[in-house]
Amino acid sequence: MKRLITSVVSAAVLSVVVYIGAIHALPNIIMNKVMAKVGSGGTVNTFMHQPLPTDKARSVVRPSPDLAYSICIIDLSKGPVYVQMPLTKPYTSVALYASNTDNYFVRNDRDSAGKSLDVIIVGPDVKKPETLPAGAEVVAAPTIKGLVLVRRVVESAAAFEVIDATRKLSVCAPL
Amino acid sequence: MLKKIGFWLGTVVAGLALGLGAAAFTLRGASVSGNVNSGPWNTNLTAGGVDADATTRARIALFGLLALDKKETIYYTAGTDSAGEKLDGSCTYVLKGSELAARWWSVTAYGPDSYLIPNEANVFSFSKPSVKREADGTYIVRISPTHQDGNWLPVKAGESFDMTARFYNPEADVYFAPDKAVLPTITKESCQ
Repeated sequence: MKRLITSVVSAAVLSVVVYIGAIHALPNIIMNKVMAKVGSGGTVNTFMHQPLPTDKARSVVRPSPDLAYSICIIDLSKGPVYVQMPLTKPYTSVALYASNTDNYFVRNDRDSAGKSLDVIIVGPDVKKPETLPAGAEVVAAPTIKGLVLVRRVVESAAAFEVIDATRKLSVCAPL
Repeated sequence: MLKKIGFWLGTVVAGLALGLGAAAFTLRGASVSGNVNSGPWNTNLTAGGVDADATTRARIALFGLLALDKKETIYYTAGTDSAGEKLDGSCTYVLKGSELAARWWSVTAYGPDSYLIPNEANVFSFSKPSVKREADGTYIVRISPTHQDGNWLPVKAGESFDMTARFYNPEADVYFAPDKAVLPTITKESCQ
């Protein structure tokens, strides 16, 4: 009897620990999987421009078919990363995600008042770089690894060609 | 000794199974449903934000990864029609709506796997500039597995689906009172 109680109580305690652990670990696991899938070959600190999502797009759930996505997987272990994005109409935004999926920073074309969106991403506990490109906003990332996601609204196939040419001028590179 | 190992092994397996089972149960259902409803549409305003709790964050990671913070975009999802019945790809629905209160908006259909639904027309959504409107500015969209004249949002017969309405840069009214946002009605017309 005593053994049975010990077993039940131990299993119950373990299950609570496993439950909490699983819920907390899942976002990091999924984010790592996506970063591995998108940046196949270990591409970091470089923009990858995705085609317009169709039913064939299967790396991230619930993509919008009206958005041209550009992704840069960032690794801040060797220093800050500089990101510059020319704007396209009618909507451009840049969102930064931590490795636990949190969206810790977002700016759009309206915020930047017609200029390109320029951001310098520094790692956690890292001092601001002394010299900065003019007009760039400095953002402290909560995690060393993360992801930059640029969204551009595309209203037609013809518009996509223009937007695609413009977005290729984007920069994501170590500072 | 063997008996003792077996006893503890059984306990550990039971604990693991119970913990993982409970986690799967908590995260069940292919949705990022939240507690804010407007008709059949509901939203979780912590999606993507740093104030999301662990369970919400896990659910978003599974069903709405890389969502934007609510200041930038509010996402509403409908898995049922306006009568509360689960959306079924074998049926034709009539969606009636007016301008959504945002700088830019779209409504997209997703299959049960949360990806876009393959279809011959290669149409996956309708949006502020693409939807054809009635004389009074409202719009009517037919959601159906078979070709429809006018606005048609294709779905797949034999599969459930859901729809996400994206409000890019929502107007202040939606941001502060998301339960009062005006969204389209969804009415079942017929089924195969």
